Amino acid sequence: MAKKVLTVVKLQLSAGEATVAPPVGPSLGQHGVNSVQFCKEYNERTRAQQGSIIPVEVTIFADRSYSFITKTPPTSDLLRKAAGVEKGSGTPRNEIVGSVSRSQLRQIAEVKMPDLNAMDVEAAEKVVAGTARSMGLRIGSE
Amino acid sequence: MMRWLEVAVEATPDSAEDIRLIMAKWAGSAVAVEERADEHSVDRVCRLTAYLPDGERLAATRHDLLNALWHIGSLGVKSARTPIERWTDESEWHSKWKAFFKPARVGRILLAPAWDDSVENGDSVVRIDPGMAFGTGLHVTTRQSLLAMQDRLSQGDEVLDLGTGSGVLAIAAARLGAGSVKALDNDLTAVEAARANVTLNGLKDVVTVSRGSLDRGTSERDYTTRFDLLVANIVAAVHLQLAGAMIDALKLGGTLILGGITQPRETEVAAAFADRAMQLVDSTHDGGWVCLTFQNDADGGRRGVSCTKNG
Repeated sequence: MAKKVLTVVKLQLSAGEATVAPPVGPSLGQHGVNSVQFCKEYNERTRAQQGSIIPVEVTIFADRSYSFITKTPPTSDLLRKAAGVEKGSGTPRNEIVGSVSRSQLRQIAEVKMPDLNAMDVEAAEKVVAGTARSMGLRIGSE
Repeated sequence: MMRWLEVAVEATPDSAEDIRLIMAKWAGSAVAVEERADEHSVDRVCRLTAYLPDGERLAATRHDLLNALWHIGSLGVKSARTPIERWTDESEWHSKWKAFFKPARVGRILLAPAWDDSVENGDSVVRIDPGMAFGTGLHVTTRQSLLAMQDRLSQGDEVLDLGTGSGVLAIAAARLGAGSVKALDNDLTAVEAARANVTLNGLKDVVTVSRGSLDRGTSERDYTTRFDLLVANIVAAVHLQLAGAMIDALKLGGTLILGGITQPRETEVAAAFADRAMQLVDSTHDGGWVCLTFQNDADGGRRGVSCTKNG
């Protein structure tokens, strides 16, 4: 029989570098999860992606056991890296902070495919392009 | 002790991402989104919590965050206008899980929390207060290593527990009849926790805990000592890095137990040790975790090591 799910906690953590400081400690600890143990597992599973933000969804069961799945890095994080900028624009209509090429968009769309509601890579590319514009990034030769 | 201000807002899953982005602007990555079934309806509700560290900038950060939440509240997510605030600190979240740490039997060993009075001390009881260190003994990797150790450990063995954490495996080794146990960890928090646990179990004469590893100058390792059994419940990367040093620390025909390996890395680790003339004698798989047991091949293994030392 499936175990009864108590709650699902979603966090965005740095791959391979999670610590028990907030948000991990308090958000998992309050449900009876040993956060030291969780950090060890998360860091081991994400070690190869160090330097990226790898979101994680932790499912906590009624008996306080847990399981977790890791997601692809946030689109904005991938775009910032591709464009080589520290942060996106606060006013994307007026201020352009950088640019990404079509092929970079395609690469990011491919990485994000598993987590996007897109039928194919072309559709995913449009979603990523939308995020890029909202961050003040110019696309290709636009 | 460091404390944090929790600022929490309840929202529908639709609006959760917008609120999360606002919180992340002031709290950075210290934002948690919790999704659970609503007790009163079929809908799911999200609780978003931002954690702001106490300090000089807290007042300003809190002001800006509440301001932004108030604005998003005006745009429709009404609950954002009245966030719930409370203080939290390390002691709170570290003590909460303790309520769910219950005595458990792993093979011949009974693991019990230090604070549980219902369990009487005995030859097969390992009492643990993990504190901030890793290892209640209930995690899959620790269970696997502990079971492997029960299969392989002989009375009077000299044992090395590398990356001891809370000391759970070192103490269990002593309970299983080891003549002497050396426990090493390069994390001071772990060393302190392990020492406290060794004392708690009355095993100071058998188990010695030191800070260090096998490849560093910080190690107190005496290079003339070799061990009958070496257990390392760490991670694949460390196993690979210390492979040579671990094999070097084994006696002829000694046993090496490697825990904490994730399934995708099993082949890589197995190959690295096989290349060094270690013979794989057992492997267990559970929930994506692998524990490998090797024997130091009496001929090849020793020769390999002496070559490395001379050359």
